[in-house]
Amino acid sequence: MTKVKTLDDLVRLRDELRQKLEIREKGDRSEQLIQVKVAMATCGIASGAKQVMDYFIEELPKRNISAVVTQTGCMGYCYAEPTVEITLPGKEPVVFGHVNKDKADEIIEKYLKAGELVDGIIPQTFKKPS
Amino acid sequence: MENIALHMLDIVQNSIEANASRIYIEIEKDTTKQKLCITISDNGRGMNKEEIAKVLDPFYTSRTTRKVGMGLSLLKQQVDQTGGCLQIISEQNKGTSTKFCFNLSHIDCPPMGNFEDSISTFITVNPDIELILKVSCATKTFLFESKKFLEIFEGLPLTQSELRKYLYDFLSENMSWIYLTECTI
Repeated sequence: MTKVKTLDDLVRLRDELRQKLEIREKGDRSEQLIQVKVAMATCGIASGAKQVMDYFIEELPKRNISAVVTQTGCMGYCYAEPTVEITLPGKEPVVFGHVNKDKADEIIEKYLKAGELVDGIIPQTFKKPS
Repeated sequence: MENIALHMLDIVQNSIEANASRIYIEIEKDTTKQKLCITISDNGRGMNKEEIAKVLDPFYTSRTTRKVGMGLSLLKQQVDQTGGCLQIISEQNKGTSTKFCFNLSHIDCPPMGNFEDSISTFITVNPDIELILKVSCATKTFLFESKKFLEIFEGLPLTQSELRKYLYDFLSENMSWIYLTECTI
């Protein structure tokens, strides 16, 4: 791969990408996207939240899931870090605790793909669907 | 914290909590003194004198979600054990600047970690926050502005994973010398 060291290199890379990406859908569909919020306060980072966030960033596109990953502060569940709040379109947010890569994989496969709840939900945050 | 880069990420989270829209990170390495200093300055809401006085107390926090605030106190402990220092300057409604230094040759110094990894992840998930990065060591200096980077890719339907990769590669290409003892390749 050619080295990308200057802004001019980046512009060249952008132009190459533009041709490749033309077929992809564009537009702001953020309200239809799954929201994945990873708690990245001290408690989260010390427990491995950075690795969990990177895992979601890497894996979601690979599995063709349209989602946006963001970071948030401490939600107050330090005992259960890393914690991840997931909001499926049109649904209440659900917070999962003790999320490592294996749990993240399970969340993606079961909750994100099939809407099926998995172990590890922080009970205080859970609102029963009406 | 496992490494210095994660400490940096943790302090940057304080800037987000303070509603900063611009964050300046300076990473300076002194090869002669084997010292690594990181300064994180933001334009967030800042702190008043009472808050500054309590900021290193682990049982003080401005949050309402919990009653402890470990980030800065943990950092202070880690820099102290290497004979380093931590300095916080803050002005209400203007912003906060946190500078911390580690003695890299000290046996208790944590590993440097991966700065470009932490920074590329941060920019990917916080594209609306303008981040300016300056990395310097001996005669080398690298200056990076997230705004300029993101402007180049604006409008392209890149996934977060792709954006993170381009950011990471670009930063690595330009600042990998920071990990070398003499900063020379």
